Amino acid sequence: MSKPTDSLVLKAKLGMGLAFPASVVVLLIIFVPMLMMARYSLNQFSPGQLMKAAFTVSNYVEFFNDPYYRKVFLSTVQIAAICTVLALLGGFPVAYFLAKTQSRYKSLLIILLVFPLMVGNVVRSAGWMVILGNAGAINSLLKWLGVIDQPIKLLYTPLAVVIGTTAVVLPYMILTLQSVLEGIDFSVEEAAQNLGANMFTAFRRIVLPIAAPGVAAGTMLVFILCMNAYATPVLLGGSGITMMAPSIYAQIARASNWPMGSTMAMILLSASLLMALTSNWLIHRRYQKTMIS
Amino acid sequence: MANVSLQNLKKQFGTAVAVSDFSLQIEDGELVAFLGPSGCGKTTTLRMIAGFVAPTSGRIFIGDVDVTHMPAHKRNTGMVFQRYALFPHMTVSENIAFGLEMHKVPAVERDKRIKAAQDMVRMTNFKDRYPRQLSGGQQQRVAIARALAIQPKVFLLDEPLSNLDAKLRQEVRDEVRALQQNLGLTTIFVTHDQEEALAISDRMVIMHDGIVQQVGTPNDLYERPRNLFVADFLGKMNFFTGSVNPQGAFVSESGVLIKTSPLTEAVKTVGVRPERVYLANEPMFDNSIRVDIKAVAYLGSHIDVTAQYTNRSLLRCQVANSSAIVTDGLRVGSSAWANFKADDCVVLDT
Repeated sequence: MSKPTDSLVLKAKLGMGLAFPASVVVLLIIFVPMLMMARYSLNQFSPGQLMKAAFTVSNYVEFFNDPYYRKVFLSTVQIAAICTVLALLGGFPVAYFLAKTQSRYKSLLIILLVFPLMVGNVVRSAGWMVILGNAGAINSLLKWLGVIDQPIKLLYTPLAVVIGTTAVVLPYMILTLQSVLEGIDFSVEEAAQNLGANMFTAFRRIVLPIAAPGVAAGTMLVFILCMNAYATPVLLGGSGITMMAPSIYAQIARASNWPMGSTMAMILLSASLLMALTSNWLIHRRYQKTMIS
Repeated sequence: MANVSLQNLKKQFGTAVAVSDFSLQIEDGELVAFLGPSGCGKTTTLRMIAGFVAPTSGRIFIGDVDVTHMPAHKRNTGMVFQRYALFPHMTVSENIAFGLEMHKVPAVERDKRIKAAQDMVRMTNFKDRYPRQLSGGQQQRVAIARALAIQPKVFLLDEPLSNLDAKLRQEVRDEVRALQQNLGLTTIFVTHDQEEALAISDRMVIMHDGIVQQVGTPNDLYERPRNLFVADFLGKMNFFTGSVNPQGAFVSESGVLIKTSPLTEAVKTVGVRPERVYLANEPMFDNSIRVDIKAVAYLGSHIDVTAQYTNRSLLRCQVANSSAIVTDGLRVGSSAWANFKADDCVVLDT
């Protein structure tokens, strides 16, 4: 028995060895800066220097006490939640259709879906500016139709941010949902109908519970993406709306308040993770005994 | 339970005709098998009856009700799917309970029926297990229980045994037949396996390319096939193509004269089953052909002998393994007489 285990151990060591360089890179690029930021968040801000070495939680206290910062945080959560829900409502039917379709155009449709992701958030936001602006496509159309005299303010509003962000995360939601739905044997839907359930009941009682893990995963992913949105809120929100990521940038790059910026980054990180994990847990709990895995 | 009437059912997908002019009356309590190769239209027809596919034309009656355009969930047909289609997020009991809940069966009656269904397929000890914890055979039994718990008018089975291993297949098949007969269920059983169809059906429908080839009891279809496809599809058949000569005798293309009964001028093909061809050391019966044994395949319960006559034509003979004496004499290269009776011949005019 020594020979097989020897080769297994060798394989494991080889695997670890090969994974080592990549792991080191990941460690360096991601974790080290995060640890540094965590450390900085405990420092004190001093206008002349970048920061004064200290070990204080005053930044965190200041963040939660200041109504301005609280508003920034809440706006971010609100918008992220709205965008996630919209992406779910809009994305699920598309994912459902894609998973069930036998059409020869299926691959093409999926490529079309992924296409916008190749363009990049900044360019897409620029596109939305053209559509939503005062002289943009929508306002021009409404004016031409005679529905309005003065342009409606669409750009630089929370609405614009929601539209832009939802558009960005929609493909992620659809793809996550679709991959889960693909794995479902849809004859269970037919079986449900055969047993007396109409289309809607079959969907609600059979398909949805089975899809729950996918919904949870997609929701979590999209929520985190929305919480951390930067380019879209900056370009489409203007000064009317401030969200966490742009605010962090402002603290670090403009106000040079690294401790505060780091603090906010830590809060954003923990909050996103916490809320995403909670929603994941809730969905799992709701469908606990009904989930396959 | 109810009878089923299919009238001129047709299903076309674009230009492809999947089912063509299918008409059939199924009696209350009958088990009818739809048999045929893949793509022959048997599953499509079943799905039209279940309500998952809308017919291009034609009508379907269950009992005396025209269900042609009735949605699937209202038809009260109980279906067993090829891949079981059990709800993975529900236990065995919950799977069975689902249909009863949909039919708004009151709680007390519901529990009674769940218990009865579980007992019927001997899955009571597994009632709290999830499908992933069950073997294929067990899942299939749950699927059967689930379909029958709602007391459907028609019991539909779509190749339910294809995913089971050989031994299990026979067990489940016999169980299904026993259940069906005990409950007097009108049943439609789709399969591509002839043995299954022959073994358990009251009547069989053989389909090919969407067209019904022949309908009848297993005995009818096997002994008296009415066209080449059926004759060749069920079991094995030796074919002699030829024609009736002016003297009124059938002569095959290879020059062999064959006595058959009945015999008409229109006969173009004569067939005889391998099990009706008796190899012996002397000629006997109405037809005797001198053959050379080319191959002997020992299959345990019987032996398949391939024999050659007139230089190129082959004759398949099936010898029952009834005694060693009979089987010892079969050696490749030796000669023998292949004998068969005129009555055992099948005549076809195509």
